Amino acid sequence: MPTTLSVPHLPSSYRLHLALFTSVRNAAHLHSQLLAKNPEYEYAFIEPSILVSNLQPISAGFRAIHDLLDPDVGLRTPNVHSETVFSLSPTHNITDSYRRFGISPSSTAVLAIKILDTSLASYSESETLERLSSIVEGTEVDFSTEEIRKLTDLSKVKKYYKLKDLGYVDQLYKKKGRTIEEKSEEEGWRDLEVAVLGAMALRSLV
Amino acid sequence: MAPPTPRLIDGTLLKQGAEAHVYKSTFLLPDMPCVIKVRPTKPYRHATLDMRLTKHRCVSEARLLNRCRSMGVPCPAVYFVDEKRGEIIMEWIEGPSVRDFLNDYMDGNSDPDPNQGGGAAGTQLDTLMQNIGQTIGKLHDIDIIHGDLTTSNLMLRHRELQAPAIESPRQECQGLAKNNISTSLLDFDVVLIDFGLGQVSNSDEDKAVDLYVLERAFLSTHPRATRLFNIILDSYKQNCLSSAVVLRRLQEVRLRGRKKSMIG
Repeated sequence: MPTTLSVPHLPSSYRLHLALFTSVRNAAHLHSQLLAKNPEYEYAFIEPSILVSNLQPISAGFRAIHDLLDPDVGLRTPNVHSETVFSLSPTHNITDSYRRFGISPSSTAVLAIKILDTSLASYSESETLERLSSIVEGTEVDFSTEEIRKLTDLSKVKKYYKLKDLGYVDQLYKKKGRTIEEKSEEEGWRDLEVAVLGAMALRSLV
Repeated sequence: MAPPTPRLIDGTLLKQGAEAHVYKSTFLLPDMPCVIKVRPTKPYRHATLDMRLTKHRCVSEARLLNRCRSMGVPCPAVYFVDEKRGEIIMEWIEGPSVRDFLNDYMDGNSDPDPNQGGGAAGTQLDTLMQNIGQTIGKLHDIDIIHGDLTTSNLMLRHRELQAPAIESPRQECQGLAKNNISTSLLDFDVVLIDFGLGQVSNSDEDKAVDLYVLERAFLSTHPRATRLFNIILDSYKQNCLSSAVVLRRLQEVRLRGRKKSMIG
């Protein structure tokens, strides 16, 4: 079942529908439809190996809707879904952000996001969810941090988000021969998560 | 450039300072607490200047927070920045400020005198001071100057019990000070907040002034605690890699005050 969320600070009529798939077979088709700008395929298709938690795509969606509704900002890409993919990026390069954070023809896992304003007359929740579940051919799994972390590619995350300074102080002290309290795995994930969220949030400032 | 459309903040006001308002709210999920720090427009300033200042301060604070947090100095993480409106959404830190904690502690425990040391509670307080020194040492080792080190800008966060949303933070911290002191202080991290006056600098002078500001703030709000501040300095000496030069510089700063040049 896809996850449906409405996000604090945004108009309550806006919904984020998210569905995570593994063993995906039609990535090449989805990718080609995006390139053809087929409106039937207007979704944010995200490559889940660059995700570290469920907050990361929700935050990107938040940013996209926020910028869409803000008369002083506006979208920098064609629609709110492409903007969601762009919002995952720590840099301003739109093409790069699609390539790195969006679906590729060889993807085997995909996170599909649909953003809709439920106050529109054409909105139907059941239709939206049904279409979201069937558009990607694969096995739908829970949209949870646990499932996402099974798919994470840490080296890619660190490279794309430029995280070589993560935990710099501890490394510095270790080099000087001090004993450093080892962090738990969960703490490590949490540090990574907030570093990624921070890099996304600071994009407009670089 | 036209000023941005103002917006209503959805949250409860926690603190209001000269420059910013701080709200508690939620981010992304209804059960994820966050802090929203807003720098409202100042109507007495020229509109363009006001926008530039607001934006600049908001951006520099967000950058510093992010740099500290990712390099491993405990501080709130940045979740979202709207620099045009001067808003930063950041991580919620659960726990009392060191200032509130010390005040309640000293109200509740007339003896042992913190200047005498000794006793189980005394050593607990010493541990807290050591943690403060260690955290400031880390901050200076990544060449960040806080700019406004006071005990209100240091918070205590429990390592495991990061329970969200409590009814009354004030009560909680009194309970902490009076009842659980024998077991709890060791399990607390010292977290730095409010980088509004911060900057990146590797100069001994700036680091020494940072410590001097803390010393003045510490001794004026907790006059009985001279001994405690010396523990902070000792721990800073042991932990911070550049502490020797900084502490030597601190002696000079103490003699002449915070400003190096007497102009302005």
